[in-house]
Amino acid sequence: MAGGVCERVAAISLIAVLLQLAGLTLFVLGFFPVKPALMGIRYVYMYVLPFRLFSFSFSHNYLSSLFLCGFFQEVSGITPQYDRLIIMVVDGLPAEFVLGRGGQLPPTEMLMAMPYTQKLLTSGRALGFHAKAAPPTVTMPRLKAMTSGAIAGFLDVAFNFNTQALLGDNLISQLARAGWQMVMLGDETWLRLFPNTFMRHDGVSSFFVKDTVQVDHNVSRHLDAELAATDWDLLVLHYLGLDHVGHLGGRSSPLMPRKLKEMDAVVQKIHQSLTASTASRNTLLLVGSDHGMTDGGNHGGASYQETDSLALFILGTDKLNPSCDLHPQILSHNQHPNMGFSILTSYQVDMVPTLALQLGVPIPKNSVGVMLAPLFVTLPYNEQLRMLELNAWQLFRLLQVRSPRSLCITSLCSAKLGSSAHSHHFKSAQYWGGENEKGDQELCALFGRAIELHESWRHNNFSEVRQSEFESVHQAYLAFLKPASERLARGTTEKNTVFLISGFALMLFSTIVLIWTLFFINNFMSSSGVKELQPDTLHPRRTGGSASVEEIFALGGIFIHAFSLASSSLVEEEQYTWHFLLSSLSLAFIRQTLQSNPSSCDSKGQDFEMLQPDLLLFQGEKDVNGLLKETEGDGLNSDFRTPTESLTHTEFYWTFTLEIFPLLLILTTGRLLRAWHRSGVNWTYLPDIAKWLDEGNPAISSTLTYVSLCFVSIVGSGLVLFPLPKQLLRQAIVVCLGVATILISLYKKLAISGGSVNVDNLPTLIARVVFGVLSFTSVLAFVCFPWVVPLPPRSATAQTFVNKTGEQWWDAVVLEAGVQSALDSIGKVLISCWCLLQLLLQQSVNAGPVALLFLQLLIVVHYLRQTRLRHSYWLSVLMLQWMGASGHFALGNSNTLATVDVAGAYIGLSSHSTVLSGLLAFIITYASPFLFSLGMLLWTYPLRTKKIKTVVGDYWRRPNFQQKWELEALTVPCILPMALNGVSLVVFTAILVAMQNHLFVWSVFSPKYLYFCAATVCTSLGVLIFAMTSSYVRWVISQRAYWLSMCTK
Amino acid sequence: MEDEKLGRAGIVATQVLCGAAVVAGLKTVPALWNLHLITQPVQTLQIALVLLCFFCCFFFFLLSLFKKCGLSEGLVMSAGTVVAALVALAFGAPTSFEFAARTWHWACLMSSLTVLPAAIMLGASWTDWQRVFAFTKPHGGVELAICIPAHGAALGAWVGAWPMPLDWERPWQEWPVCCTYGAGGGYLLGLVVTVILCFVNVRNVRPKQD
Repeated sequence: MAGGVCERVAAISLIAVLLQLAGLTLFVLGFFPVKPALMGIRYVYMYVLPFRLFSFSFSHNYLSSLFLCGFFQEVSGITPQYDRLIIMVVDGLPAEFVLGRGGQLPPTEMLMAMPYTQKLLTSGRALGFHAKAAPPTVTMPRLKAMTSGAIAGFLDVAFNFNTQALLGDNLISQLARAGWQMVMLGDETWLRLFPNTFMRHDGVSSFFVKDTVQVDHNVSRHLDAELAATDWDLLVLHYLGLDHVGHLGGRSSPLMPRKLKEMDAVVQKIHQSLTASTASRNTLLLVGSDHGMTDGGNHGGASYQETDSLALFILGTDKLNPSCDLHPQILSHNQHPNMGFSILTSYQVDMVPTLALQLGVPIPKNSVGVMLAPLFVTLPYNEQLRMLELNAWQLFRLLQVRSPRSLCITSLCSAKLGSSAHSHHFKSAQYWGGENEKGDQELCALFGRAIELHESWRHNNFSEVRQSEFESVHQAYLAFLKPASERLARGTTEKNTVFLISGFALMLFSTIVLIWTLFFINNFMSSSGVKELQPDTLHPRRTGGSASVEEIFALGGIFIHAFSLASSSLVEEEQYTWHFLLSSLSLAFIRQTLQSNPSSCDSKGQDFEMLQPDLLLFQGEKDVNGLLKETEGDGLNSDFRTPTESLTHTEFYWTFTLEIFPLLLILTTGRLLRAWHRSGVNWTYLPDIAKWLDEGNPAISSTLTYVSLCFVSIVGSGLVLFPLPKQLLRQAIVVCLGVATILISLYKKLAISGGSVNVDNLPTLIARVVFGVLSFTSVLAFVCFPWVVPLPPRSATAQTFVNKTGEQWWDAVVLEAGVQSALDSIGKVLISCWCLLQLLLQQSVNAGPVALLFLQLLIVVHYLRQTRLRHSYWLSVLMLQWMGASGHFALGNSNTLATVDVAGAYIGLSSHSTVLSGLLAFIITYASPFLFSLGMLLWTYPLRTKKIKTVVGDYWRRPNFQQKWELEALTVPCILPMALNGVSLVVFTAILVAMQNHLFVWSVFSPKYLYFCAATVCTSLGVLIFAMTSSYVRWVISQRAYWLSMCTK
Repeated sequence: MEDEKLGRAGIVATQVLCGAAVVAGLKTVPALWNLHLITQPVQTLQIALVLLCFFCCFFFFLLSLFKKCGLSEGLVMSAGTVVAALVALAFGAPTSFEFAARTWHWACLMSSLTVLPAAIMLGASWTDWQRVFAFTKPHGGVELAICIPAHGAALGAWVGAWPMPLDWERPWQEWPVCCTYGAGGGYLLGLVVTVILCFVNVRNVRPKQD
C-alpha cells in the first residue's frame, strides 16, 4: 500500500481540478450567451412591413452607391436633413460636466471651462442629452454601441482589449455603402473597428495612459486642414486626453478644467468654420462621449457617474432649416427652471436610429435605439410619423428574432399576412403564460395599436395637418418604442440549459471529489496513529475527534461567506465580510492561545517539536552520531513519552507572548489594510488612507513608496541570506534583488517627476529590465536551490544503523529535511520577487499595502510554524487563503469591473498586446491571493528551536511517516485551496442562476462571477506552482539522497 | 446542598433581573426621556450602563456573599472596556472622532455585560477566568450564569454586525446600534439558556469533583 497513495491522491485531485475548470468554462459559455442578432446588412427590408420579411430578395451588391442613395430616399419617403456629419467623441466625458445633474448647473469651474458650448446650449443652437450608456463602460463596446446601436453581451468586456472589426450592420458601413468619404482622427480603436473604411486617418493609441497632452495634440493638428477640405462627408474625431486625465487624477483633477477648455476650443473652431463656410452643405456636429467616469476617474461599471455619457447635437450649422425656431418648442416642454436650456435624457444607442434617419440611411439591423423625437419636431408630420414607423418596424423585427417562439408575435405576423383584423388573434393567444410571453404580448398590442392609428391617420387626412391626431399617433409609436427598446436592451436571452446544467454538475462533482480527498487524507493520517504522536507544546492534547472552536468557526466561515454572496450588497461590500471573518478567526486563535497553561506543560517539553533540518545540517557528523546512538537507546523503550525537562515559568510566559504577539500584529495590520482603500460601492466617498495620500503632500506618498520598497527589499534579502549567508547562489540572488530594487526606485522617480508629459522610452526599458531580472531570479532559485541545499550528513549513519529500518528512517529524514529546506528557500525568493514586481506595477498608493501584506505573510507564516502542531494543516492553509482574499480588497479591488487598474497594465509595454496587457492586469489584480499562495511554500518549514533530542525519537516511532508527511504537507496545500474555491464557486453559481431575473444580475452578480472565474484561474495557478515546485524539489532531493547513499557504500 | 439550592434560586433571580435591567436600560427608561438608541446612541447607552452596572453589582454581590469576593472589579471592568473597544476597532469600527464616544460607550456596555459579573464573582483568579472564558467550561451554577450570558452577548454583537454593510439605508444600521441590539438579544438568550440549564440539567451544573 506504501507506494501509490500519494500518487493516486495527486492524480484524482488533478482530474478534479481540470473538471472544475471545464465546468466553469461550460457554465460561463451557457450563462453569458452571445445575443442572437440579425446577420448581414440591411437594405430594403427596412421599408416593408416586418411580416413580409422575405418578399424582397434581390441583391444590392452590384448597385452603385448613387443609385442606392436615391433608392433609399424614394422607398423610405424621407429626405435626409444633413449630408455631412462630424462626430467628435470626447472619451470619458461625463454629461454632468456639460449639462449638470438633476436640474443643477455643472460646477462653476466646468461652466467656466466650456463657455462656447454653454453658449450654444443656452442660445438653442445645440441640444444636449444625458445619453445613458450600458455597462461595461469601456471604450470599445461603447463605440460599437454608438455605431451599431446594439447592446453587446456581457462577455464583451473580456474582449475589450481585443478590438476587432465590427462585422454587424452599423452606421459607418451604411454610410460607406452610400458613398460617403470618411476621415478619422483620434483613437485607433475606430481603425480596428472599421478597417479600410477611412480615406484619411491618423490613429493615436489609448495606450500611454499617462500622456494627456500629446494624444490630443495629434488629433487637433489636422483640424485646420480637414475643416478647409471639402472632400469628406464624415469626419470622426476621438479625443482621449480627458479619459487619461481622469485615470490619472479623477474627476477633480487640476488638469480637468484645462482639458475641458481645450475641448471647448475645438468645438468653437469647428462650429465657427462651419457657419463661416460658404459651401451649401448641411453639416451636423455631434459631440458625444463613450462613457463617464467615477470620482476616481475609473470606468467600466454601471454606476450613474460611469454611464452618464453625453450626446450633444449641434444644429446651428443647418442653414437651410435654421433651428432657431426649433428650439422654443422643445424648450417649452422640457426646460428646467434653473437652467438656460432643456435637460433631455436618452440611451446612448438612441443616437444610432437618430443619425440614420437624419442622414437618410437605413437603421442598422440590430439597433435597439429609439429615435430622439425632439430633434425632428421641425419636420412635416407625415415625415415624422414615417420615421417613427420605420423605427418601430425595425425594433419589431428584432423582437421577432429575439423571441422566435413567442406566440403573439407569430400570430401577429400571420394575421398581418392574412388580413388586417389581428386584434382577435391577440386575444386568442393571451392565455399562453410565461413572463416573457406576457411582455411580448404587451409589446404586440402596443405595436398593433400604433400601426392601426397610423393607418387610419393616413387614410383620413393624409394631406391635412391635424395637431391632435398627429399627437396621438406620435404617442402611440413612442409608447411601443420605449418599452420595446428597453426590453431588447435588457436582453432576456435564452440561455443554453445543457451547458448550464453540465457545467454546474461538473463543478459540483469536482468539489465533492476534492473534499472527499481531503477527508481521505485526514482519515489516513489518523488511522495510522500519526496524530496521537504529535505532541503539543503548551496545550493538553484534545481527546478524541472533537473539533476545536477555531475549526468549527473556520468551517462555518466558509459557508457564511459563500451564502453571504446571495445578498447583492454583501457582494458589493465583500471586503467587510473577509475582514470580519479574518479578524474573527484571529480572535479564535487568540482565545486558543489563552488556553495555554504553565502547569500543564510541565509534563511535556518544548523539544517535542518536529524535525529541525537546520540543526541537523549544522550538526557535525560526530554530534549526529552521538545523538543517534542516544535515540536508539531511547527507541528501545516502549514508553512513548520521553520525560524531558519542564518549562520554567519565564520560558512559558515568553513563549506565550511570542504566540500572542503575531496574532495581535495580524489584527493590527489587517485593520490598517482595511482602512487603506474604502473599496466596495456604497461608501466609497468616505475618507480612507489612499485618498489622504493622494490629496495630501506628495512627499509623504513618495516617501512611503520608497520606504516600502526598502522594507521589502531588505527583509527579502535578509530572508534569502538566512540561515546560510555564505552560499554563492544566495548571494547572487540577493544581488539580483538589489538590482531590481534600484531599478524600481529609478522607475518610480522617473514616473513621479515625469508626471503627465511626454512618453519616454526610458521607463519602459527599465520596467522591462526589472521584469527580466525578477523572472531570472525566480527561475534561478527554482532550478538551483534543490541542488545546493545542504542535506544532513549521512556517512556516519551507515555504521550506526545496521538494521533495515534505520536505513529507511534516515532516508526519510534526509528527504524531508532537504525538501522542506529547499521549499523554504525557493518560497522566500518567490515572495520577494512577487512583492517587488507588485511595487513596480501597482499604483504608488498601493506601495504601503504591498509591504504590509508582505509583513503580514511573514508574521502569519511565523505564527503557523510556531503552532503547527496545534492546528490541523487545513486550518493553516485556510488562514492563508482568507488573508489572501482579504488583502485582495486592501489593494483597492472591488467586485465591480471599474477597479481593475488599467493604467498599470501597460507598464513596460511599447505596443498594444492583448495577451501581455491582460496578463499584467491579472497580475496586478490578483497580487494578494497569489502572494499568499506562494506563501504556502514557506510554512511547511519548521521553526528552529534549541532542543533536538527527541525530534529524532519522534521520527523513529512514526510508521510510514515519509508517505504521510508527503500526503499532508505536500498535497493538502494543493487540494484545499481548490476545494475552498470549489465550495464558494458552486454556491455562487447556484446563487447566480437563482438570481438571473434579479435587478442587479448584470451590474453586481455577473461582474462578481467574472471575478470568481479569474480567482479560480489564480488559485489553480498558485496550486500549480506549489505542485510543480514540490514535486521537482522532491525528485531532486531523492536523487541526491540516493547518490549520497551510493557514495557512502 | 442547602447552599446549592439557595444558589440556584439566586441565580434564577439574578438572571431574570439582569434581563429586565438590559431591556429597561436599552428601551424603557430612555423612552421616558424621549431618547432612542438610534437617534441618541451615546445617551441611551449611558442610561443602560448605569442601570446595568447597578443591577449587576447589586445582585452578583448578593450572590457572591456565598462565594469569594473580588475587589478589583472596577479595574477589571475598565480593562475589559479597553479590550472591547480595541476588538471593535480591529473588527472595523470607524476610527473617526465622531464615533469615538459611541465606540467607547458600546465597549462599556459589552464590558458590563461580560466582564463585570465575572470580575465580581471570580476576582483575580487567572485559572477561573481561563476556565470560564478561554475553555468555556463553567463549574457550577454561578459560573454558568456568568459564562453563558457573556458568550451570548459577544456572539450576539458579532451576529449583529452583519446587517451593517447592507444597503438598506436604515438608521439602525449605524455603528453601534445593531451591535448593541445584537449584544442585548444574545445576552437575553444567554439568560434564558442559563435558567433552562439550571433547572433541566442540574447534574451537569454541579461542580465536578475532580
